[in-house]
Amino acid sequence: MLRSRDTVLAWITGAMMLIALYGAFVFAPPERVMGDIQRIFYVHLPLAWIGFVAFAHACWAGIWYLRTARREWDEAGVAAAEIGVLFSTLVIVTGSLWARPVWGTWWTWDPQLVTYLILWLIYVGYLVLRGAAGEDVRRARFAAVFAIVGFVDVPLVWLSARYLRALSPVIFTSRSVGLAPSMAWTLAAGLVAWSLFYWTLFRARLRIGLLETEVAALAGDGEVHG
Amino acid sequence: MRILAALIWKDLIVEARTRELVTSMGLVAFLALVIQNLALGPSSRLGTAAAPAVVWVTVSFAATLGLARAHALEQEGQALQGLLMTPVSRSLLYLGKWGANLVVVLVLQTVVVVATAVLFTGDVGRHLTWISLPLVLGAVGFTAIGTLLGAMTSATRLREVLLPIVLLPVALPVIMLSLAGIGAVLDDRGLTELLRSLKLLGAVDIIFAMLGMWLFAYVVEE
Amino acid sequence: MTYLFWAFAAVWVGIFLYLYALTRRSQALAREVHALRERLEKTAPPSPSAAGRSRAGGP
Repeated sequence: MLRSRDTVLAWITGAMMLIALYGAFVFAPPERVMGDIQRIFYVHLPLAWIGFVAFAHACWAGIWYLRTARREWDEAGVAAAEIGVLFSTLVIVTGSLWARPVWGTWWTWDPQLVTYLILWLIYVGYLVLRGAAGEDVRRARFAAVFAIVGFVDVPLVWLSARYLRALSPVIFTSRSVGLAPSMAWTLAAGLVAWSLFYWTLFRARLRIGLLETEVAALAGDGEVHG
Repeated sequence: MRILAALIWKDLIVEARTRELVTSMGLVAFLALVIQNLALGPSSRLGTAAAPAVVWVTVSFAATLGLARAHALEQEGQALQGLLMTPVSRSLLYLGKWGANLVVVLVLQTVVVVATAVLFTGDVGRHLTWISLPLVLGAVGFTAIGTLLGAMTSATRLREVLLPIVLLPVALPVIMLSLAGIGAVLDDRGLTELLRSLKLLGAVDIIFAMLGMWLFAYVVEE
Repeated sequence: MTYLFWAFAAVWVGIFLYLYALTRRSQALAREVHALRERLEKTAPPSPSAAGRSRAGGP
């Protein structure tokens, strides 16, 4: 499944992941207020950032698909979106597991969480749309349009949620923690590791998608001639 | 500009003759209001506090149904194919569809607001004129993005079922900002507050309209 | 803390499930390629160069 350059990438990713893991559990000190539970942050934040980047990636692929009508862009879009759904699901799960011991509740309606929930809903909608859209060119076009609309929408959701929240302030503190240098380094390592992981995963998923359409085309040809 | 008016008028004439959309949307809206009223219980304070939310929940679902239906009707009648063969620009087609949808949704909104005011708060509301501003701007944004997405979903296998799934998350900024505006009016928070929310809402409307004008062509071409 | 464990566990389980799904798709692809190759060998003459020529000479 992997060629040599991708193999190197995979190994580097693995190594980075181990470093990030070491940082999260050993190198970084326990947080003063929350204790060890705060270590979820070192996974939660990179996943959240990469989830958003994946969506931007899908939007970018959508724009280029509309401009060039080349299938590779459509496959890139769906690959980015699938991985994005995976990552954002994990963000919501880890976020809840972090919120429960710290705030005593599984969920709150602060702007960041709302925006992320909507992001997740839009991603899932993207996949449902693709499932329902039928034939290739139309499906690719619809998916591209929705990826663009969805991505433009996310900052709008965030700003609106913040505006609404500012009108009726709720008493809770934001998620950001005061970062000691060792924590910052660990976070940086996590960001690098998960970015590499996304890239590795994306390339694998993209290759499978491209191969699938190629094989389907060949099989179709086989029917005609055979 | 005349073409635009003609496009909008054409859709409205069709709707006026069949009245299919208005009746189905109206019934759904009414049922939604009844259920919400029953669910909220007899407390009148709860009803009054929940009134803006009730309006938007009802409008969101009924309007989504209406938009889906409107585009499905067009698919069935093959009207869109006919229009596509004319040299009319796709952006203009989009604006035409948007205009017609907007009129329908505004009518729906008026009915829902009056019904909500009567059922939930007992009086028709002194603030009605001021509330109409965030409501209208909200309808503008909702239909702007709903026309684009509706054209898309009506061409898929899932048809009407798909539109709520894709439209409602995307339309949230419009709904939230409209609610903020209504809240500013009902809580007597002053004109500047209302204007702030209206400016934000207007900006979102413009962004949605631009997306619609740009992307409608891609959605609609064969 | 158990919550910390469950969070990391969820992450790894999620990733593992996705990788498993990808592997299955990859295996299905391999099977299809194999089937296609077999079909090619049946309709074309067994030698590789002849297969090349007959493809080029096709409609």
